[in-house]
Amino acid sequence: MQITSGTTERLPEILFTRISNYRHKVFVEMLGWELRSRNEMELDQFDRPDTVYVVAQNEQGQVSGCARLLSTDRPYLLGEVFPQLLNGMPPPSTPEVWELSRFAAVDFSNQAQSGQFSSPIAVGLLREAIDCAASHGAKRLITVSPLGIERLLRKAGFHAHRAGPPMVIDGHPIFACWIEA
Amino acid sequence: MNRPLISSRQQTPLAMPIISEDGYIRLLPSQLKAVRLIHLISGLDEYPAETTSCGAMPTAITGYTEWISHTAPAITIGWDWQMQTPVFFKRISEPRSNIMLKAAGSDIGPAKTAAWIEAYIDSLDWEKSVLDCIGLRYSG
Repeated sequence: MQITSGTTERLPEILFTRISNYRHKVFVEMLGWELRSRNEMELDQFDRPDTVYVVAQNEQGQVSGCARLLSTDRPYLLGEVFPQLLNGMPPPSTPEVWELSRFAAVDFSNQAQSGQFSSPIAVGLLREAIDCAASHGAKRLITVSPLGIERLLRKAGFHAHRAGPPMVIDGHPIFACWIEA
Repeated sequence: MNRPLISSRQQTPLAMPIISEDGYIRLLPSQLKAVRLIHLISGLDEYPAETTSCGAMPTAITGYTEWISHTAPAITIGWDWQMQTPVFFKRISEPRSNIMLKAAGSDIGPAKTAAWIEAYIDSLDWEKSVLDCIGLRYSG
């Protein structure tokens, strides 16, 4: 497994294209999320020049995992789209809190795997993503994710707790979760 | 399915909970016992390979269940379960919540809080709500 991180400007253009293709495959095709996607590339308004990506590639160079990191002092998914998940608290807005979103670890070259966090590299990629956010100044992270990420966070040994109750969207519960960096 | 759960133990009345800046709702252990939860949703593990809970057999039917309080802000507690035959549910994970218990003015920490919540969950009659919800969601 090779893990690379950086902003759109720093990542090779071909890798950024592969990340957006991978997100389309995971979130739109596999999980059926209703996301904006064109030409099999899943991108939204939070994929900006300052957005930080953490990407895992397998030995063949195929993307096998990804994560998106956004400082909360700029617009971010939870603050703009899902503030209701914060249990009445105002969305954080500080460079010391970063948002983790679009986290997936599925290796499509391994047919036996299924599920958003099914790859054996899931824990390692999560650790890399949290370390990457910390290297950009994050003291805490907040994530809007399916409930399964809680299991992964515990497995990785992180101190995490819910920011509020889950909400059922398109039949699947999602929630906001605090992670100590 | 959504009937409130009431502990029969001696309880300290739960005043309207207050959420802390760190997102935790801080309670005394005696206040936890007074929390009344309603069932939000339960589901099967769609991808058993992702189940990392201790004690689950690879071929067992496993899933999750989510419960919330009707207070604002809301208390949320979820845990994983395993179905055994004859129909019997067993909690197989630590609870996941937004609660931090305190004693003598200080937090007692995540591990001790989890232990208290486990005891609270295990005192509740949650299995029928899970079974009813699973039946509704996955039948037909």
